[in-house]
Amino acid sequence: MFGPKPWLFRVAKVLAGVWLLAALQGCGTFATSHPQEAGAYRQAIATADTAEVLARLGKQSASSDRLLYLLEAGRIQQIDGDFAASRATFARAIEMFAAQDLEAQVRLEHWAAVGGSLLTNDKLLDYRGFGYERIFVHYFQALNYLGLGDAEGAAVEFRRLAYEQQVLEAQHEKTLALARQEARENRIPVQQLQSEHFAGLDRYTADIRSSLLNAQAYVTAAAFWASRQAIDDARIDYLKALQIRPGSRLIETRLARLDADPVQQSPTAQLVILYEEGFVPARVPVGIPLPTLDGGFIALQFPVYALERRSAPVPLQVEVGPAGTVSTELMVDVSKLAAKSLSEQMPMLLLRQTLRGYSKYQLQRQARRMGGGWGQLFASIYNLVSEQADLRSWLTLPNSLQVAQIEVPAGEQQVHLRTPQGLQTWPLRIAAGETRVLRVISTPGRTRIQDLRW
Amino acid sequence: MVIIVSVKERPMKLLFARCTNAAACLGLGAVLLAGCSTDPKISYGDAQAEETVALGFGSTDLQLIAKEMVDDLLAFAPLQAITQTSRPVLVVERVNNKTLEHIDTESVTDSIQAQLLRSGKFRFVDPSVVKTVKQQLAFQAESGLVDPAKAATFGKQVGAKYMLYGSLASIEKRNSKTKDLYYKFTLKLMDFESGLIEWVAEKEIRKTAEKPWFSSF
Repeated sequence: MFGPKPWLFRVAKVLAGVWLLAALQGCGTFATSHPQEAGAYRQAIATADTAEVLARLGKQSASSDRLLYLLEAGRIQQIDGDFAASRATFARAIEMFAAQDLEAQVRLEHWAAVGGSLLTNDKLLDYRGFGYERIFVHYFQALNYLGLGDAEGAAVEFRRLAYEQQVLEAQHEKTLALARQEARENRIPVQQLQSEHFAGLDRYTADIRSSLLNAQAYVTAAAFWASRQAIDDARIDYLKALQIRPGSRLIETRLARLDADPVQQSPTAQLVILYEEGFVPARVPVGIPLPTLDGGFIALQFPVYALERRSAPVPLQVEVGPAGTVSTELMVDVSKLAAKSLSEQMPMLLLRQTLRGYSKYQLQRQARRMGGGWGQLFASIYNLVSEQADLRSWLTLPNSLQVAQIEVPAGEQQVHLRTPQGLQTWPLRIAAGETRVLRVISTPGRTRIQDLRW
Repeated sequence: MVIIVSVKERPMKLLFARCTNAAACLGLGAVLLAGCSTDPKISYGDAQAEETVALGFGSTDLQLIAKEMVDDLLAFAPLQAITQTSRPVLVVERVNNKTLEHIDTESVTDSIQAQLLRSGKFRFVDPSVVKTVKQQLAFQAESGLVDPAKAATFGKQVGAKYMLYGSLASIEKRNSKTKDLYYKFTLKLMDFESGLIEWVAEKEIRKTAEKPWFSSF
């Protein structure tokens, strides 16, 4: 008898079912990776021609990655100086984050996606953002309000920043404990696997206590409160920042100044430089053999950061008034923060990947039993194609955030900034007791300066 | 006074528990799908009805605060004595938003102002329109288009004797199962001349949302 053998139909049915499941989830699980897409966003920022990418991002409202697209779009709009559009976009992202807080404990759609992802990859799951990204969106939203001259709106965001850092850190500890417990129950040696395969990630981020703590957010908030005579709030936020960056000269100086002049009656003015340089690196895939629950091995893809290749943060030199040349001080090494976040997620990721490895291993065995060598080959090809690391993360974030705070005499000033593109001068008229913020955003090929009035 | 509002999602598991056989569920599903429409359904509702669409500060909170504040102010004995013989002039300062939400506090004070004015016991001046008023008075005096005998003139406005001002603060707590919001609205009445605070009131609202056990999305 001629024609395909019956077992081929059965294997084809299983694989078609899996493909159909993935397709039904409406997810581009096998499509272009986010780092590839983000290359276009970064190019658009460099050339200041962002209309096309923003239009493209705007069409993604039904995508399972819509939160990620909102974050990227809001950041691009803000770098463009379109604070109103950025505020509206970030407000939608903030709403999506807030909606997660009241999601049902059992979500049918989510568990369907989880089920599907066990046979494909994590990209099938909705993008839910990382804790450090949620902190950043409030930080940038505060700057949007300041850019629009709405100090009350900025104050709301600064309060929200402090609150979210506190809550998310407490929640993260619980999630981590749950993942470890689940791993123990399933006899998955998560800690051993993490130290075997991801020790570099842990070593590199050893000096970061938590990915959820953002010193830049606290320092900016503290300077804002001080400018509004809310001295206690300013002191609290500087102290929180000092806990994250112990020994910071800038923070210690500001605290000493608050103690010396609590009512902020100095005849000089304050110039705050908020410096954002470069872009955070993207995650890259790495294949790691994981043991299956019945003693076999299966190669699975994990996201990691190629940290040895990334550029270290470079400070900005600022020259203004009699203060001479001042360098910005590093507050957040965003690359390390992102790597720390991945390291913190690793127990959950290892747990999920081990279960996925088991599912795929079972699929291979089933295919071999039904179709022998051909079945095994089909299943292996499917695994090869479907096994992709989830590389999604907010990629228009800067590589680092730095701050300088300089006391300048009131009157006309010339602020000289030694940017990667050369010396730039910014004229400044500042009154006694006033606080002014120059936000300097330096991305490859272009440096932008935004003058924010508090 | 503490007002406790509980926002609890309807547990979907009850609905499923009632679907005792597959056919009934399929039938219900078909009916639900048939009822789906791409057009939004729009209807008018009672503006005073309790609003529990979202946990944040909403129209019901605004109405509750405004009503409680006005009732408290009108019932305050020293002010009752004053308003028996005169209609004091008040100015309303914007309420300071000290919450974690972007709340239009002006709409709260607008509501309070409207209800106090309707009580017939107070009058108000509105500093937010000073610029427009000055432009209009200048126009009437200088444009030559207005009969000088009928034109409103500078220097006749009445100054406020009291100022209403305050703040709205909140405390938010959330864990893996619930989210709790507490609001405290404080309003004060200050005598401009003496600097004395003649009246102060605080209203509190507590709202709690519990995560539903099950959802289909």
